[in-house]
Amino acid sequence: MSDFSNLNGALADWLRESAPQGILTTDAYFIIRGWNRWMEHHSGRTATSVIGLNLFDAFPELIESSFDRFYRDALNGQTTVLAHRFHKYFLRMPAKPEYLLSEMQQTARISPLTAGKRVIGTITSIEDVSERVVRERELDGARQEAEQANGSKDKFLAMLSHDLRTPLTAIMGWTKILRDNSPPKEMREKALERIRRNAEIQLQLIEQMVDVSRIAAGKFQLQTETIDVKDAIELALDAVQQVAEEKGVRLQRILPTQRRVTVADPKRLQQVVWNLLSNAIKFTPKGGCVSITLSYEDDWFQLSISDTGIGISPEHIDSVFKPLWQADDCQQGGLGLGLAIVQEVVVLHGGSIHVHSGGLGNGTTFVLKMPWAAKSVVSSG
Amino acid sequence: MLLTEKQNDALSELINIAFARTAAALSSLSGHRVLLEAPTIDAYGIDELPEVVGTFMREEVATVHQIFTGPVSGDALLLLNYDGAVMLTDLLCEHQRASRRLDASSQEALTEVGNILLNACLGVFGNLLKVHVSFSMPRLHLESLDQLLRSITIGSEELRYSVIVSTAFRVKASSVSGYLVIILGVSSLDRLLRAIEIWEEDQKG
Repeated sequence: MSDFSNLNGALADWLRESAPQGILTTDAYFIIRGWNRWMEHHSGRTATSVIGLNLFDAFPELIESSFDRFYRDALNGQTTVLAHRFHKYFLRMPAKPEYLLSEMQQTARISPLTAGKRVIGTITSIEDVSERVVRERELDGARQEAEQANGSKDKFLAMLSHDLRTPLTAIMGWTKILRDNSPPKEMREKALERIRRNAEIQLQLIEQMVDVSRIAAGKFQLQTETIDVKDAIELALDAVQQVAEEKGVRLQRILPTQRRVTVADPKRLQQVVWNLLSNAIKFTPKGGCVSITLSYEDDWFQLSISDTGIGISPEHIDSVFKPLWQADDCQQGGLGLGLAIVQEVVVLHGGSIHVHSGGLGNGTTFVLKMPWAAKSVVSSG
Repeated sequence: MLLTEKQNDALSELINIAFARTAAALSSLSGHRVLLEAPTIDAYGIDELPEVVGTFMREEVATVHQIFTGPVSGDALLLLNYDGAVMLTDLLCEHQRASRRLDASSQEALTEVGNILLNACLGVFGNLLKVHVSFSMPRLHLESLDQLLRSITIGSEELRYSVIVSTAFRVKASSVSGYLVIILGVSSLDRLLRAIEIWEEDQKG
């Protein structure tokens, strides 16, 4: 029994020296009577410097934040909880640097301090909840991302079914005309061309999906060989020339006269250039211009594709390489996978790609830098 | 229903004063206009409480619980349906969350909301009775209604009554129903009702 005879004293010692939270006590005149080690450590003010001072003289911010009324309530027997979510903090104290917070996030409780049935002062306990707040924010962020991804997936599935059905509908329609009507030669040729073009569109969609699934699985690989850079770009230009002409978009080529070779995957490099050019044409209205500029540097070559099209708003500029991203209210078709694949191919080659836009209505420029020899050949997944 | 019409009217008026204080405190805390709808009040024997509360609250509830002691003593509870508790916290905290669960910070915020409401109501009673009432630290319980009511009603030897005040918090065009339950011993309830009647007479006089 004798070991516990001074239990209150031992408890007071523990609260003063070891409690994992701040403890501040005042008398009934709000003169600070207790200021534990935690308070000293986190506030930077020693017990000897604050004990004996009026609480609101020592910390006028308590009046500014209207917390003084809770102390008067405490003398009337009331207890008050100050939640972090409403108040952020009770007293301004620095947070641990790793939390990247301007202040320590706190919750506090203000209660009457009683001796028997008599209120003799107040007691305030302060808890550092910074770590919890940071974790909750991270969890919220992750949850929002997951929700967004889920929403994008639904949007993608809706687009996928629409985009796969559209060329199929055309193929079936033209096949029916060929089978049922025995059309004249000219019509037959047109039908076959439309069937070929729509089959190509569908093949391209399926290839994009296969590419994305390979990227996700870390199985996207380059088949590198020595190739002529200008050749690869001209082949891509030839592939989009007709579409640009049909749409009334001018294609401007600024290519060096000399030829240089690089080590790259020719099919993938053409895919990158074709994708950027196709997008530029797709989002540039009739009468507009798409220009492609190739320049050679010592360690890399730079390709820049600019258009006078609809542009990208500043809030979306960072998202363009994310899978399933599409321009707002995109009526142009496509699955929103092209630029994600482009970026992966460029990165696998050891290169980089950036996008600039003057905002909506002010066109877009993609700048691609590729080293003269591909550095990496396997996707990281 | 144990209250006379006169007692009910007087109690309603007092609770309205407390609710107006609560609404003002919550408005200032959240930065949004918060209204608490005019309450309806009933009193029941404690043994009827589970059945009565069960008619408007089901399954999981969020409850802020404070014990008050002094010449008048008992338990004060703010009862909200769990989904209502999530919604109320989000509305007051400007916190748009994808989850339908209360995280630790939201639980704490809800505790403060309950604390404000219970302090205001019990404070009005204390002032009216001119007695000093002490409050315990508020505690938030997230559990089934049965479990909660059992923990409060068990083990009491005194005949006890519950005053149930139903209202709705209105914030930003949304409404969240809540119930304030004050559980008192028969002597405390008797003192309270007598004091209320005297107060009402004074008001008229």
